[in-house]
Amino acid sequence: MKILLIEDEPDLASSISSYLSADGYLVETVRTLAGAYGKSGVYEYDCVLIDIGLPDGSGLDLVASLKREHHRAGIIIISAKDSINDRINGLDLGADDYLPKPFHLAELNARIRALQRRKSFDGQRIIEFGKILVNPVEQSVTVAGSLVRLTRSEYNLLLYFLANPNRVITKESVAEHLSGDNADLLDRIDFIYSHVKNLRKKLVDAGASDYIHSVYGVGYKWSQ
Amino acid sequence: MKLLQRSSRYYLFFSLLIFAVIALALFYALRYSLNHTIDELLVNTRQPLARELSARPLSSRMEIMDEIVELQPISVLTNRQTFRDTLIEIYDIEEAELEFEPYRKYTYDALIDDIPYRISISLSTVENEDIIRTVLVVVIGGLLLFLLAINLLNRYLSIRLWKPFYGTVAEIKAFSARQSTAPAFPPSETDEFADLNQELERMTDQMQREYDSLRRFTENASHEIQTPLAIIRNHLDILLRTPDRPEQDYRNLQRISEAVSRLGKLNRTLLLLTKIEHDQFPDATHVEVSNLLREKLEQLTSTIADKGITVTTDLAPLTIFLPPALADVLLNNLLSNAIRHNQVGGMVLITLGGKQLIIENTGPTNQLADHKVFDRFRKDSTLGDSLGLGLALVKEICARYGYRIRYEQLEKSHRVSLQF
Repeated sequence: MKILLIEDEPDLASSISSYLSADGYLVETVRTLAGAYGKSGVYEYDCVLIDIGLPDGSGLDLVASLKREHHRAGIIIISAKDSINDRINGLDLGADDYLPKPFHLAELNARIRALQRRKSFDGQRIIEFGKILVNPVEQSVTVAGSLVRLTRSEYNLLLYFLANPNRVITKESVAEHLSGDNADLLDRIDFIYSHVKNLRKKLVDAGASDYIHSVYGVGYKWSQ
Repeated sequence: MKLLQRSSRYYLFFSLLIFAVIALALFYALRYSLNHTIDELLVNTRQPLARELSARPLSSRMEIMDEIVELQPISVLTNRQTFRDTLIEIYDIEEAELEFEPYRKYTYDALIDDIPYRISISLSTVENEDIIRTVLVVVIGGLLLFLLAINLLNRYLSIRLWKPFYGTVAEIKAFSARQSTAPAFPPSETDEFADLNQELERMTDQMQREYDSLRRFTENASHEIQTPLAIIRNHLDILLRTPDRPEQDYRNLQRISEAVSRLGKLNRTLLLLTKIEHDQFPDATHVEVSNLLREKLEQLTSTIADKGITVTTDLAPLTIFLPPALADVLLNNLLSNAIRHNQVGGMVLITLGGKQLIIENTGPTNQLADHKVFDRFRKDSTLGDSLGLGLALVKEICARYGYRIRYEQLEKSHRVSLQF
């Protein structure tokens, strides 16, 4: 899968690119709007990550033209300016998602995965891990064929883990993922623990292996 | 009290004082001059009276013409003569009764048929009194009328003259440094008011400019902080990806991760606070409070269960007009506050009804003064992970949308009441 990253901050661009490359994505990075026009005019991408504040213009301008020329490409806006107007404008122009900085790379990864699932037409919509099957369309989870009833938080948590297997996911990242836009308005780290505990219990009770491992208080890791 | 009222009151007070002085002076002057006339009249009566007395039988009290004449034999004749005012009881024919009337009494010694007598002639001064009264009434009435006219004129002129001033005051009342338009002060031909307006224009303009630059600075600073934060955070994620680190590394990484997360939260909460202050949430809609409360409680179920807290609710339907994002923040903060500052096995009591939301929770006593809980960065030092901005946010939202919020510390619990 090919990703075009348009980000003017070199440190940020390199970290995003290195994280995503390790996941098997092919990431190309440009720093300017002009560079982005050049690249997107020549190549096809599955996903474009656009920063709004670019040295030679607003990333928002790119969204509309990308949407016209590349129907298949998913567009995620990554912006330091978390303003409601930008969000609405971006989504109106055809962006698929909006992620305010600073974000966790695991979160970005999960968003790309979700976008990929929404965009794909070749039946890869079911997520499978061992005996666990997740159907995002029906929002249902089965373990070895039997339905597991999860709360919305537990379901989101499971999807988040499945999008980032074999990686340490910090508690902060989980907290922000679960509480969405309000993450910053609450001090709610303590509630993650019980969500993880419940999810783990439900999956193990249904017959799945225990994939969730705590990592020295820093967070969790989903692995075999 | 209005300036006009104040000045009118002074005018009135001093005018009355001066009128009283004028009236008194007039009274005494009139009486003096009238008495003087009477005294002359009385003195002039001496000659005719002497002739009259020598021609008639004498008694101690006689009424001759309008005068009352009293005689008193004396041994030695002196040269003394006195004038004084006195009251004499006489019979009033109209009223058919005895009554006192003012008289002017002239006393002197004289010989009547070579016998020394002390003679008193009394002449009624009732008419004089009448004259004085009439003059005083006319004069005072005229003065009062004059006062009234001056006062009315004054009032009319004042209202006209002060009109630009009141216009200026109205402009200042409506002024807010947040607004982008400059206040339009009414023009005035009065130098003082024109001066005032000019100075105010300069001041408000400066206020607006400074406020605007401060606002832009805060906004830019907050946005600029996001990028380095994102870089730190991303590199942390990459560090965490490397497998098989020693435990100590993870512990250190965790501390960094927590600190970065906290910094991010702090920054974005401050950003949100500024946004609320600047009214950057225009999309208010009708929000059903009781439903939203139930939803929030649902989301907090696991935390509530973990602390063994019992939540009791009594919710009547209530719709408010608020941007949904802020309604979310408002209830989230109030509820998570009630849970965070609670004790294990504690209680939360939520009552919604009559446009009022009351959230009461058990919990350890607060060290802060009641009104300080809403201040920014005020927090109980025992709660390390708290930012101290939750209630500040709540307060800001309440201030912006005209809700009244109150915090009380009860004997063993805390109560926050919100009047929509």
